[in-house]
Parts: sequence; structure tokens; C-alpha cells
Amino acid sequence: MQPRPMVGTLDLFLRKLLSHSLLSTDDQAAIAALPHSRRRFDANDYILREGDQSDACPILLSGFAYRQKATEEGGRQIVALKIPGDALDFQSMYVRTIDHNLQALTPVDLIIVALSDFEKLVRSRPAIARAVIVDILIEASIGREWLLNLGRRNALARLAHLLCEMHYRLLDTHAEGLDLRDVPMTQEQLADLLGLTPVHINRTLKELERRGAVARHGRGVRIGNIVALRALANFSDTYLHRNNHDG
Amino acid sequence: MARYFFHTSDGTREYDDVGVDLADAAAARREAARFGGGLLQDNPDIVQNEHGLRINVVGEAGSLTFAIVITALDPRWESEQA
Repeated sequence: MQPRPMVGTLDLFLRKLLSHSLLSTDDQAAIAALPHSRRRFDANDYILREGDQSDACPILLSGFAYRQKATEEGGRQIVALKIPGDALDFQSMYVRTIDHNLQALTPVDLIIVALSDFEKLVRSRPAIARAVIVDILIEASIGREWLLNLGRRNALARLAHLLCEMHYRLLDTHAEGLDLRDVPMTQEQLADLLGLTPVHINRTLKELERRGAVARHGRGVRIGNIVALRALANFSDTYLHRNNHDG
Repeated sequence: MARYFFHTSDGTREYDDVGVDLADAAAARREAARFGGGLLQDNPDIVQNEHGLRINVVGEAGSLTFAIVITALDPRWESEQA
């Protein structure tokens, strides 16, 4: 287990921003000083709903969350996955209406920051404004990669690619990767994310296990061999912009 | 709701040990067709196997509910039937 962050801390969020952007110690202190409150949601709870207007930006402190959209007939597509440290609604600073649903994947702890406080910070500190834009751009880049993944990769590469991505995103916030913790999703949730049937997910997990790329114990799934998994996914991390601040 | 298992054979046999909870046999049939569609999209060559792709949908009691078979037919075989 990771040591639990101190109550109310914005450290993890800061770490996330610093993973892609440079911020002066002064800017970092301004973020750490943001007024905020804490909220807890259970798995499957709605954090934001399509059509609503938000005046707060939740930041994920622990647990996982996802963005989803659904058709009239009830077909659900998970369109983004959020990990601890991720800000969940920067976009409400710039567009008024929430255009998707945000749900807790696991029990989550959130830090709630008023959008008006964020707006003040972004207006007065260009480096923070830039970091927010970079964060939004990287989420859009991940979305483009997901379009490719869902549209053109076969099930084996598709699932392998998602696991690689989650692993490296976790490592970039100095959290444990998926080699040391279970994939936090059920086969049904993986199916809703990858556009496959749950049976196909189960079959594909078995194939990944046969090839040594994942290790299964009971219902839990972990990465068994990241090199093998990367090869199966043909994974390139360019789209994650992991070395963005190296100039 | 009932649990259905989707076993496949496409040259090799693959047993579904998890299953999916679905409303009824009609829902299981739709799920099997989607599953088959996914497998076919992954590997269109499975229709070339001697017996194509077969999905056996089995209920909790272990008996076959129905099967879906996807296969390519040899044109000579077609004309012999005509």
C-alpha cells in the first residue's frame, strides 16, 4: 500500500502537474494554498452529470474514476479513465455545461476546489495557466489514442495497450504500477471501455496470461511482464508526453 | 437473470469459466452474435477453419442453450446441393 497522503493535501495534484509542466516554487505554493474541502464517493456514484453546470473542480486524491457517455438504448462507453492526482473538471473553467458523466470506478476521495479560486490563480499566474492547458491537451491526446485503439487494434493489442497506458500513467505520479497492484476494473468495465463483450475480455485476458504478459490470481489481474505487454500492444508512449518538461 | 457461458471452438477449444449474467436466452443470443462478431473482426481467417467458428452457449445447468456457427462455404459444395 502507498502511504496515505495527509488529509487535505494538494501534493499529489501538484505532482501530477509537475509530471508535465515546470512550475516555480512560488506557483507551487500558490496551488498548495488553494482553499479546498474533501468529499468521499462510493464505487459507481456519479461525481458529475451530463447537462449540469459545475462551480467546483474535483481533484482525485485516491481511487479511480471514469468519464462515460451512454446511448438512448443504454449502451455505455467509458471515454476516459482518471487516476489519483488528476483534476477531473478543468474544462468547466472554459465551457459552461458538462458534456459527459463522471463516475467513481472504486471508492474515491476527492479534493474540491472552487472554480472561481482556480480562475483567479490561472489569471494571475501564466505558468499555472499553461500547466492547466497542457493537462487538457494531454487528456485530448489520450482520447485520440483511444480512438485508434478502439477503432483499429485487435482485442489482444487493445487490452494490452490500455494496461500499458494505465501502468505508465500511475508510475508518472510516483504511484505503484499495475505490476504491484491489481487492475482496478472488472471485466464488464473493461468491456465498456474497450468496446468488446465481457466474454471477449475474459478470453483475451487468458491469452495475455498464456503469453506471460499478465498474471492472474483469483479475480485479480496484474502485469506479469511489461516488456512482453508492450510488445503485444506495440506501445509507444509518445502520446502521453511523459518528457514534456525536459525542453 | 441467468448466467450463460460462451465456449468457442475454432480449431482449438476455449472454455468460458466466468460467464455473463443476462436477462434471458434472447439476450444470450445477441451477446453470442456480438462476441462472434468481435472474434471475426480480430481474425477474419477463422472462417477458413474446417468447421469455421462455433460458439456454444451453455446455461448454468450445463446444457447447450444454442450454438452460433460462422463458416465459409466452398462454392463447389453449394452447386452440389443445388
